[in-house]
Amino acid sequence: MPELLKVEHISKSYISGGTFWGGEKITALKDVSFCVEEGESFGLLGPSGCGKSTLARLILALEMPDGGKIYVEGQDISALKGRALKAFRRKVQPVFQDPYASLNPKMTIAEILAEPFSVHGEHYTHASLKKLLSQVGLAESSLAKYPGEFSGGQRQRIAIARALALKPKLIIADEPLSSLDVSVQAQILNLLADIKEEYGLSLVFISHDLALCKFLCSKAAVMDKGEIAEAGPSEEVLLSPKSAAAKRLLKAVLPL
Amino acid sequence: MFVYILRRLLMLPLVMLGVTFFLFFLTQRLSPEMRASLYVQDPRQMGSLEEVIEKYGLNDPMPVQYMRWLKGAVKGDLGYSESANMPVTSAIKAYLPATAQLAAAAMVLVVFFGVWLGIISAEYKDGFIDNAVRFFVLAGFSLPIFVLGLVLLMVFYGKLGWFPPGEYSLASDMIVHGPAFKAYTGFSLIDSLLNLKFYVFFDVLKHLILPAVTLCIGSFALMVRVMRSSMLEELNKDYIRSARARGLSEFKVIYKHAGFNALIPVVTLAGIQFVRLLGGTVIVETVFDYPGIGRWGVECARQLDIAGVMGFSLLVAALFVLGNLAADILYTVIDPRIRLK
Amino acid sequence: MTIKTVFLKALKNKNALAGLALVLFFALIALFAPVLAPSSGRDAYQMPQSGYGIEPQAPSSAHYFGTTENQYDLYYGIVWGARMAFKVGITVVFFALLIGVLIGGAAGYAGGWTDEILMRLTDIIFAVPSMVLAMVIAAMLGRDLGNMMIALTVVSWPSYARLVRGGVLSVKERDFVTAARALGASRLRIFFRHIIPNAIYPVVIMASLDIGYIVLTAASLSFLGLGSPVGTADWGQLVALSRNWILGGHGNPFAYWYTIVIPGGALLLFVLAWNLLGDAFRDILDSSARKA
Repeated sequence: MPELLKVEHISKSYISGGTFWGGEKITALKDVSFCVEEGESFGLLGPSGCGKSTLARLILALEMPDGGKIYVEGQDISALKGRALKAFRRKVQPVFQDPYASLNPKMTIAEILAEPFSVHGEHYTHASLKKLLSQVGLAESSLAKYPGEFSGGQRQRIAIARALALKPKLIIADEPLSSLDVSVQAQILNLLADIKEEYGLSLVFISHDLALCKFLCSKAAVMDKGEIAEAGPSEEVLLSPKSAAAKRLLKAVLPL
Repeated sequence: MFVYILRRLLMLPLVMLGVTFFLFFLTQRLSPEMRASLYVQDPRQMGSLEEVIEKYGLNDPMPVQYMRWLKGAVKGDLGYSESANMPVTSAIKAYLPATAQLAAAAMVLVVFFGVWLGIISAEYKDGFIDNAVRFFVLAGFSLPIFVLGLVLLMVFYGKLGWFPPGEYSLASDMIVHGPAFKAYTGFSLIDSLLNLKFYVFFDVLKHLILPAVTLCIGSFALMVRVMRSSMLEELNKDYIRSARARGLSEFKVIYKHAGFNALIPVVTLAGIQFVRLLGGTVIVETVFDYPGIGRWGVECARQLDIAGVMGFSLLVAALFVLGNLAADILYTVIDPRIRLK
Repeated sequence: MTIKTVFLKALKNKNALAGLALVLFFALIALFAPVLAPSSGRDAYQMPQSGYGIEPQAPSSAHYFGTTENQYDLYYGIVWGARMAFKVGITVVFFALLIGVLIGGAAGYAGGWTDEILMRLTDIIFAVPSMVLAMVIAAMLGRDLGNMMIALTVVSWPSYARLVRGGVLSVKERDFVTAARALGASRLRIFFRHIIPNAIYPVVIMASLDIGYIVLTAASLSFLGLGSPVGTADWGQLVALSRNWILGGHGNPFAYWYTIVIPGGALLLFVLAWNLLGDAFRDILDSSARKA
């Protein structure tokens, strides 16, 4: 399988409490490297504040790393501009943690789902929006409604539909289940797994939940304090961890 | 804290530059004769129109003209105010004390009655007095001060003859401008006392009452509201309950214990309100024909006395910025929980 | 909290209800001004003069509210003055909001130096009391209705700009904005489709409630002779026309009471109505902001 995403020696830091006289420097990521093959699911695990979300923003090219390179299909994404950047956006799409924040409350579902098409100047019809919705298990009647009329799980489905609209190759799902009820979590997890099969997608699944990760991902990495503590096939990492950080994480959620 | 004050003080010249640049820009569409008053100290210096345009470069590009004006202004040369018939700096010196006196009198009324009404409406929360006070406060807030001023004049001057307009009567005017009267401070209220002319003192006070009452009406509303809510908050605290439990008289509880602590937000507000009153003086002084900065400003604006308008705006802006800063600093001094960033 | 719930909550308040009734009353007068006081001249906002006598005439069947100095009909002035008040208030609020949204929005969205410069610009305008600044600008531009509205707009937009900026700052970090960025949406699209619609509603409500305050400032300018041109149906100007008559005459200090009480009363009720409404709305918006 060819490599889709390659992250090489990424580091990133922020200045906190930024004032005129400077502030404290906080290192979010330190020398992070891994790669994801086409059609593969990659789990990124770690406690909150370990830099997982920063990594997601960097892969989405929403922010630039201080050092290191990120390649998608062999292209260095920090060098992308204009049309090339827009073409890259089609390939990588996010799904966020909080479905209450990730949908614009002032737009109807139809407008939300149409946006990817109109941004990229692509033709779309009512039928294409309907098809997107049915893929995530929602009815056509939802199109005229506003996000406020849906439950958290339904909203997450809509967010996934939006991410799928442009037929991306890679989806970065940043804790997509952690703000949902447990019963709903299973549904969305299954949905993600189905869609991955159907579209032949790669998935970067960011989570702090080992069980979910093991179900969905073939490879996994455990992050700690901005660094990758351990990486490998998910069975291996999750069942017989070697690093202290992975062991700690595992212990926190026992029994598995 | 120190850094904050320093930064705010550094903002002052920046703001002054902005205000004057903007107004200077607006003056450009007026005639050269009008604009020439920005540069001269005496109208007799003017000479013919061509000479003036030549001498002060009134056809130069605007930034060049502005820099020329700025150089003069920094040296304290703000030009000649035709509406006041004197240089702008002299006009400010002549009119500022009267306005300060008026604003101070209004402030005393605002604080005194604002605090008192705030306390009684908190004491009788949701009762008749509270509702009545709230209604009058809102009505007062909505009352256009020029209408109020005219109605007060109609009643207290036209009908009752108690409080005439102006700064003082003709008789006092003769005394004040007589040879024996020394202007120590420029404030007629203080000078009359220092000269032991009690007739003048009471005369000035008599003329001060209506404009001060009119001026304070708008600021009054906020003062009552803040005092009321601050008082309510204070009355709900544990130490008040325990004071009541110890059997202290209700009067002592309300006025001595709660009242004092509830005053903290009021003090800051007073600082800000004092500055706000400046805007109101423009109308009040015009209605009551009171010879202060505000009335002069209106005259300058009406007669398009450019030098006067510039000087007036500059003065008001400086007072406004410094006043707001003073209020901020006062706030931190009184309430150490607040830290300025 | 949606607009609808804010409205429903506000209207439970008796004061707000009274305010709303008064505003509607004035709105009806403004709307039906051509029916209530038919104009004969070319410009309906110009008050008709009956004769050239200087002394005001007491209310009569010919002049329901009497006449002012120079024989302007007070009834006509009050009716068309209501229309004028809405015209000035709505125009100024609209343009001040437009400028405030664009500048405040740009400052909040772009951040950095753009933000710094635009916010210092608002500081400059805040550094002079709005009444004073409006007066000076109106004077320099010349006595004219349009110029007065320009002056009022110039002094009004900065407070809306600050409010919008605050709203934009809180909205721009939300996930749906990030999602739109990840889709490749342009900055303009993100600004107008995602950020502005989610940041301006409280500001729009606040600004509309400022109509009372703006009409009050406009009336003050007209009173000082720096607003609408001579003879315009404008409450501030009508009050100014009473100035020479407040001491009364014919041995009666209150002989010309109607010249001040009628236009002054109209202005007071108009401003009061908006303040009653504004009070209730501000309470609700403040408390919902605190809870959020």
